[in-house]
Amino acid sequence: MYAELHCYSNFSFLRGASRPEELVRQAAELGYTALAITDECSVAGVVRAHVEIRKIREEYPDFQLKLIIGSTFTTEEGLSFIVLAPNRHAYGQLTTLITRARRRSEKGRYRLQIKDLEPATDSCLFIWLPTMAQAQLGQIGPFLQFTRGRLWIGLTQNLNSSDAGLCQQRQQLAQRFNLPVVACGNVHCHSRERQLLQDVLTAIRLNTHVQAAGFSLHANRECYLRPLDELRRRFPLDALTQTVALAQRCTFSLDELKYEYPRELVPAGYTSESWLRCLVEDGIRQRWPTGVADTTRAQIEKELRIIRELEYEYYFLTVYDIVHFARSQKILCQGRGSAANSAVCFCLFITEVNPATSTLLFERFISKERKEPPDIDVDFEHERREEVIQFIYRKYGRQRAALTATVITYRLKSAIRDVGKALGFDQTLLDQLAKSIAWWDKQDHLQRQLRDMGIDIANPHIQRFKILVDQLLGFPRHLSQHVGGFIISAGPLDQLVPIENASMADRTVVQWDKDDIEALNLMKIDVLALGMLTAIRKTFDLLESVRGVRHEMANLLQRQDAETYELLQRADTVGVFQVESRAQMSMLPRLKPATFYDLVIQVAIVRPGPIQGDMVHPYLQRRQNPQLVHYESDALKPVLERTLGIPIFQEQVIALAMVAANFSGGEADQLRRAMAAWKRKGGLGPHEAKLSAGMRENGYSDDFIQHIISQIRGFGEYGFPESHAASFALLVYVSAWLKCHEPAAFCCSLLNAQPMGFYSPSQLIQDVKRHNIDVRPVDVQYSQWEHRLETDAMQRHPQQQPAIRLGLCLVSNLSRAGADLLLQQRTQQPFQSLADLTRRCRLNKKDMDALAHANALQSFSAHRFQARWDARGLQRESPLLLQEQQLETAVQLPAPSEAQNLLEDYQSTGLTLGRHPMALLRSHPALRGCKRHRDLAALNHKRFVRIAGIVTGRQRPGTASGVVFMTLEDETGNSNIVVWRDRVERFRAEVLQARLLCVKGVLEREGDVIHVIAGHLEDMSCLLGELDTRSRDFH
Amino acid sequence: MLWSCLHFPALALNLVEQSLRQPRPIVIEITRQQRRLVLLANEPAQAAGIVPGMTIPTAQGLVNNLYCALQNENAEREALQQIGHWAYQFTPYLRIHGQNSLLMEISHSLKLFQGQDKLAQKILETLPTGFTPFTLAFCETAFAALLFARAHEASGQAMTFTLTELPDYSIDWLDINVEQKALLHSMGITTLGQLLELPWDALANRFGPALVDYLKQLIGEVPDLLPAWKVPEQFSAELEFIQELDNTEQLIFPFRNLLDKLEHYCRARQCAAVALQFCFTLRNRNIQSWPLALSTAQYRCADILPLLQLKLARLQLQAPVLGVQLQVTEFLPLPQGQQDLLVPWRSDQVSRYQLIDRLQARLGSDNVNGLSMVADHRPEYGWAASAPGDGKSLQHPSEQRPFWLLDQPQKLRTKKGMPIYQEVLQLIKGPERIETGWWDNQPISRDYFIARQRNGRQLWIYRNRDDQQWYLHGIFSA
Repeated sequence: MYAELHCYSNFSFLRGASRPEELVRQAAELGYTALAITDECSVAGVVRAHVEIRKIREEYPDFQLKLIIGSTFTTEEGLSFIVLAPNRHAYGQLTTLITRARRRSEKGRYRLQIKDLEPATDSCLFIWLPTMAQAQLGQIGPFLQFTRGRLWIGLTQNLNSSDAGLCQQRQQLAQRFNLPVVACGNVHCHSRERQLLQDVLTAIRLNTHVQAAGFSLHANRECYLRPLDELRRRFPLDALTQTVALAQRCTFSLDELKYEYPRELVPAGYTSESWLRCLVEDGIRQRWPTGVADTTRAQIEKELRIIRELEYEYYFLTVYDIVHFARSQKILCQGRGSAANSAVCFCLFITEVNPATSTLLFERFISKERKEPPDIDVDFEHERREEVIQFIYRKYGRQRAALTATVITYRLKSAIRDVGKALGFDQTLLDQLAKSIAWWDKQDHLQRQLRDMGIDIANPHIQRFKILVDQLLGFPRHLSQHVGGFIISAGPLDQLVPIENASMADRTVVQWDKDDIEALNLMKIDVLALGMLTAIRKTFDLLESVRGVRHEMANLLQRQDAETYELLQRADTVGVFQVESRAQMSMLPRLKPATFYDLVIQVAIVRPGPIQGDMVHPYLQRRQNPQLVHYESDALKPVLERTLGIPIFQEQVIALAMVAANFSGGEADQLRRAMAAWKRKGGLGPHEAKLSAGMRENGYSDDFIQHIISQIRGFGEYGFPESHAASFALLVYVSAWLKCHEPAAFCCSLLNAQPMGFYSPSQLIQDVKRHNIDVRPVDVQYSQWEHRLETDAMQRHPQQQPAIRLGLCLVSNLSRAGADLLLQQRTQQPFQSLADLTRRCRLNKKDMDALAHANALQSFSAHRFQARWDARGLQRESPLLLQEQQLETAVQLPAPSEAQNLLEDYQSTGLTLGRHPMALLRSHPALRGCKRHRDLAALNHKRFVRIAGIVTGRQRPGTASGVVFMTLEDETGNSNIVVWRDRVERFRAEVLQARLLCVKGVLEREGDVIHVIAGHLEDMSCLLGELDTRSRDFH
Repeated sequence: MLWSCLHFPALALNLVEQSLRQPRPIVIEITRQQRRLVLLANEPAQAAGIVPGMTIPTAQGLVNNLYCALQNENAEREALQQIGHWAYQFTPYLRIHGQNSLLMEISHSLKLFQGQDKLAQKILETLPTGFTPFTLAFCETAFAALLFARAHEASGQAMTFTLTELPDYSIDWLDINVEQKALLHSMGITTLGQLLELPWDALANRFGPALVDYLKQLIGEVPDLLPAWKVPEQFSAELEFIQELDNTEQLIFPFRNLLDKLEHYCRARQCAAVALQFCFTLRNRNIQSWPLALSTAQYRCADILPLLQLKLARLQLQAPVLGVQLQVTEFLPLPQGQQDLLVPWRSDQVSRYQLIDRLQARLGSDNVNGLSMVADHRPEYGWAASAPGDGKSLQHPSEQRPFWLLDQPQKLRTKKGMPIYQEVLQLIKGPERIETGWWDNQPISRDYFIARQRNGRQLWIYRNRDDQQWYLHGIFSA
């Protein structure tokens, strides 16, 4: 019988070489009684161990391995010990201790002193790992006194030469202080074989290679979970039996952690139930001033009943509170997630998706069977989310609110780099290996790829390298902050989970990530940032000042506007939320969305799930021809009816598992979790087998089963449930409406909300100009910092769209301080001349250069060349020289050419208001015979074409093997080029590097959707000179 | 004045290529703003589409097995220095300019070399090999010669230019910084013709007086200064004998003479010699050289002479000697703060080093080593030979290691499982397990024990974990 009480997992970063799951499995197999995970000043890995035990227990119900929560520390005085938590109270003391040690140190480190222990850890058990030097410490007396009855001396025996002496010393100390001894494994790996990786981790930690790591490496492989008979050989019997005795004193399980909601959300005189009811009734009066429909009222009542049954009131109240704050600050927000689109959330203004007009059902998103809290994510304007975060910290304090962690793990690229460095591979070889990433999982491909590079995969160094990389994959490197997952509690949070500093100032994170928190049924709220909300709010603000009308998202949604849907159907969607990507744009004319629910489908269908499951085409066919609609079985009809018999949403696949494969609610829920994590943790495992077996049993075709399984895998990467799609669809509609009816204001706001979205300012401006909006250049006499609307033309014709005046923010290298100075002086009095501006603003050289570069001085100097000459002449270091200025010989420089201006436009602002570069180059002999984008529409399917343009996008989607999608921009618009894999191989340099590309290929059209399939590519970048049109690469 | 400029645009590549036996794609890599970029690419690399300015990963994407060498500015400077020594034969007025160019004023040498064409020919004929591409340009001013050489990069021939040709050239060839070039371009000023038309005062206001000074020098309005080639400081002295010497003993006198001169030289320069190079001129006019390394820098005749005497015994003269030359190229400065040069350096150190010198002189320098500890758990990798006096010691994590480690572990027989060395051994401590070294294909997996013999001697033995074979590996000192 043995309990391991000293064991590091890989959450002791770059030290432990095994995952908590592996440690638990191994300890179980060896027949250990208990296993303590004792990472250094951390409990970040314990939830994973806990969940693994839970899983094993499901397989073997009589399985008994106790998980003990503990942590190892070394104090600043040099005292080393393990702290173990025997009960809930002690656990809280341990997490508080970790928090304290971590919070006073920079990220990733901790500081602890002996005096911190007393009395804060009076329930914890201690194993002291002393040396003679430690026993001499001055504070050792109080430490021994304080831990009396709770202190053991740990014996370590890993067959190092120093172990014998150390054990002897510790035995002596045990006798001297009358303390029991207990065996400690000093475990760093679950198996002997893992020592290689442990050595590599050590080298990475020391930033060296294994050969040079010297005595920092372990001398042997004995720091693993050893078999019981081996342990019996190494330790005295009483030290072994003590491990079990000590483990028996530990009864705490993570299952005891119970989340308590913040209580202050309910005012005096109310219960949580009555307060939620009160808020909902309030909302009903606001949402439906003329009275609520019976069906909606029934829906609300039903939802409130479920909420009551599951005691979720506090959850809804917490989200409501945050959203309420945002609304009071006029910060636009929108909820999404499993419960967000309920009628109750509509009444609480958490969502704008109206239950009366959508077919969404609350029950689908919140199930009684799932014992977990509902999940609501709330998106806020990205520029103002920080205000919301600071509100949460203010309201609940850092004691009670913290961000959840994101475990930053080793990906292939980083694993290859770090293992390679640790093995001493040189940079050239590493760079080559890094290029093999795409082939990593396919042994024969990898082999061929490496051979092409002159690397022999049979070389034992390379083989070992590959094994080590595979082992390191997924290992945690450090804890980072989650983008917005907040955990808020009633009591001090650090008694639940340790809190540590994030690298960002004023941010704290807990040691668990969102999976851990979900596994323990704790509550979190995602406070996320969304650029489109910023853009929408800014558009509303602009329209209010220009038109005098305040729009609201809810109002826009109420009237389903035909023109807006027409815009969507013709894919005129540059700048529109979500459906602006190339893939979405080619889907719009096929799907032809005409209702809100169509938009929900549109958003969800262009995703890896439906694409990999081959669901897209059948769905489109059934839409065009309703006769094709059928159901694999009658039972599936209610599940799939709203998507014409084709499963599109993640919820449908889960429901399908229950209906078609006899999954219980709990099993379906596990399937959902496995889906979210299969890529990370590997394999859908037993679920997949059970799913196909169950469906086959119920008579479904193999083909159908295969599609469903492929689809599930696709969901794994970017799971996109219907509830999310609904919230996104709402923003699609609102942004499309704005683009349709107020293109100038919408574009102006998109520009002001950058960086966001799929398109660069240049592309947005080209698009808006094609919609006949007047865009005016940056000018020191007229521009503000932000882009703004100029209404001079509107004053004559109120129906007309205002003009967009570009802002100084576009001028690269212009400092904000300089711009502010300039604007402040101009407000007092307009500038009379360049000399006047120079004299009053005293801008530095860099700012003046930036303005001249952007041609923003055009009101004073004829052109940029002259502007620079003039401005430089006014920039005197010494005021004494000012007199000479008049005497200087006047110089008139020749003006730049159109191409020179274009070039500088791009360099200084990233865009031009002049002619497109392709328009300038059109007459060039090299481009003779090239079609323009606009010409393609008139050409027939399968026709041979030649087209040239600026490369503005390259995409290699994971779903399409090896194919690269390129976007070519010319003076009339963007053309889509498809480069199949063999062409990519053949024209590698052109695909990767060309900025101006000429493509010969075949036109393919399906309705209004046009692609050019590339046959031959030619790099014509030389025509551009230095034109800066670097493409945005999306990989 | 007449200036010529030798320009080597790919000097960094030349140096790498010289060290390779076969041509292969090579680039010189620099890091700018944390991006690894191609500075230069050789022909095979350029043929594959690699151009300067490209990022290294992209270049590697174009060529498998691309050799990326880091720029080594020291080596380049050294190479230019060597070329300068060579060019010293043509004119004493020369200097290195920037990282790739050598400027020579040759009007004084024209007579000696019978005119410019002959001189150019001579330069091209004797130019050290391995430095192509290059350009040789002649013009009236130094900066103009430089400008034309750069503009006609890699012409590989001698070209003569006149100042009147300048206006047609781009301002890119000016030897001014990139910011100023960018500023000129940004005002639409792209040719020297445009630039030189602008008034000096307006230019000075915008670009600073340095630019105007430079331009004036370029067009000869201000004359160039004549540079003087600075010969590197080294010691050289020689003696011609009146009669042949054929006995090494007889060399002591001339040596003393030379070493005395060296001592004076060192005192004047406050330095000490690291190595001596003697060259004997033999009767057959052959040269026999005799290098002598010193383990510590010396300058005093009295310290060096005894060493020489020891070494002379081993010197074999190939023929009778007519003269001897002493060259000293490596010096170390004398330690700072030493008040009086005549006070010897710390006496214990001197004697220790002198001991090493004497031992090495007797036994040959390869046979005298120091010992260093190496941080490796494997005992046989735990030490290394080092230069005498350079040994490193480390904190070893193990408590007990034998004083004497066998060169090769010695197999031991066993009796009833117990190892035998002269007798059945008694294990008194262990096991200590050492199982590591997987990374270099020399892994070990052993259980070490300390064993005692009846006479009290303690042995360090181990059992291989793979085949259970026992070995003796070390012996503890009593």
